[in-house]
Amino acid sequence: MTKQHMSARILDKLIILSIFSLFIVPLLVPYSYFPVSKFYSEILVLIIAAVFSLFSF
Amino acid sequence: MQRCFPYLVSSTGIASILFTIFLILQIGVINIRIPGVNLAVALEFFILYFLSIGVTSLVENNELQQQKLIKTVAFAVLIGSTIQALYALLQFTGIAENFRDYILYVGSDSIYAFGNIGQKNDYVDFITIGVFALAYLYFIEKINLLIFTLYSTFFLVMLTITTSRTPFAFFIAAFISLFIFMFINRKNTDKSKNKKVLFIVSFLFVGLLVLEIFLPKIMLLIDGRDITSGIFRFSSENIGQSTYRRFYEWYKCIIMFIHNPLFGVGWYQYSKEAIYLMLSDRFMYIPANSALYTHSHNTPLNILAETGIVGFIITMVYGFAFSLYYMFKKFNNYATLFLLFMILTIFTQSLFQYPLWYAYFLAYFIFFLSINKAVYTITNTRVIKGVVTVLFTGFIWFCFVNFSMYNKVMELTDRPQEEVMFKNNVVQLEKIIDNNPLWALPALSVLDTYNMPTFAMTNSALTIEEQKRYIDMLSNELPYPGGIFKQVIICKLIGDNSGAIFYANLLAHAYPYYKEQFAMQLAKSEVFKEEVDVINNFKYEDKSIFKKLFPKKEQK
Repeated sequence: MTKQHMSARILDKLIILSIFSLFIVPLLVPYSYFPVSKFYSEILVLIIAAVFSLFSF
Repeated sequence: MQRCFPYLVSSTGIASILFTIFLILQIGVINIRIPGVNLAVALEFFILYFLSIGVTSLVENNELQQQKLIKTVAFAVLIGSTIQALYALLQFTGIAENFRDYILYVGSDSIYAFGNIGQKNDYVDFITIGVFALAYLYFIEKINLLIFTLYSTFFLVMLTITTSRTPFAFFIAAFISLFIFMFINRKNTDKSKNKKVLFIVSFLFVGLLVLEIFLPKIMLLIDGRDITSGIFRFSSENIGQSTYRRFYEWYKCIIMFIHNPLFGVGWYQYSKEAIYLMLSDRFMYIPANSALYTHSHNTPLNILAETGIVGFIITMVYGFAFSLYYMFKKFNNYATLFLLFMILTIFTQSLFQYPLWYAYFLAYFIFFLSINKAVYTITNTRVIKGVVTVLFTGFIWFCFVNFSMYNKVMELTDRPQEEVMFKNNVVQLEKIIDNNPLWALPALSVLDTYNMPTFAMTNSALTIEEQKRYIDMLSNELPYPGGIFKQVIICKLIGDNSGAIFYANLLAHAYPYYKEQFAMQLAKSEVFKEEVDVINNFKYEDKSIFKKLFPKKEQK
């Protein structure tokens, strides 16, 4: 397996990991709803979206 | 799943970047009172634009890749919704009380079984997306009938417990889209697959109905808990003023749009316009409600009111409707149909509430809609890759700075009793309001707890003009009854009698629910005699069409 293949496979795994994180991690924060605080869950979803974009590019 | 070059942009991606630009331009075109609110949402859409490109690029305009991605997403959603459903179970049983650091816990009543999402209908929305993800995995035979039955029963029980009525709306949307799909594909689709989808959706719907009817009785027998369910909440006793009021808020959106057809009243500026409309003959006798509607509880209409026809065409027409049309035009398959069920779940809820106000639902919505064929191709990948890397670094730095700012604002929510500390905190909050547009609104909300007209420490920290400035800033953004009440007092204190009377009148018309309470408080001082008269002179009566249609109910 060439280095290029290796890095492509690792990136593929990271993309899948970031997709799973997007739908799981932000809602693990116990205060996701506005009257309490949505800051952490919101910033987390944006960070994961940015990480996903970085892997996809 | 493989990365593809060049980068592909879907209509949802283009809509996201156009809406980012629109929100920034709106600040210059119309009077946006707190520009930071527009900037924060523009930033969200800007990040989600890149998410959208990433998703569409993974699809590679290829049907197999599309199905592969939908399968991955279905598994991800299934795990996410399973965790939330388990959290809800722990909340309902009271076990969550022991895990307060990880699970939001308010109480073990059925209305508090809402996972970490913390809002019943948003939680139901997310679990229903999980139900459709599960259904898709069964459809493509990734799970067998036994697992599907047990798993879906668990989800449906967790939906029923919430007493929410919205799952019925989600299934109605699913059935309608399924019948349209079957009709359009009546000649060229495998009939057995159509039957299988119909069986799956019907099985889930009937299962939900059975649980909604019998679960309350079963719970009474097993647990001794007298709970209800969504289906029983369709009775006339449970459809009250808050339901009727919603329709008038939608009507207000149309009025706002007619008066501001091109660019709308401004992002997040619906609430002030909606409250001030209560002074007009058309709205002063609508069903009274205790809450401020900061959103009209209908996202398409809210977008129409706040961003006009331009914002509506970008988001709802091009970003949503055209994307769905294009999706089926290019990928007319069952994976797209199940994806549509998930998209419509969020959309249907948006017709009655506002899940898309939360970044996570917005991200999921844009993610789903971006599993589409590209309408534009970016060939200069090196430049884009460089730009994205720089932007990503900048964004991480931005997040770091904002984590600190969040913690700082949170610290300032504790109002000290000692005067020097009190003054110091006020100075810090003023600095944030004046210099940090993104945090101006949260800082204003915190400063409001310090800004109590006639309070000695407030007077030593803020001049009367400064007090008025900050009260007006917050009340013009979020005209809560307490804020308008402060406007009455501060106007009186600076000698603006006509202003005090105006706000007293506004308070009575906008919040008849509270008017006696506020009149009593003002009546404690002789100086507010005129304002008390103004409040008492407004004789509220529900003259809505619903009062005429359901007279008996309103008498209760």
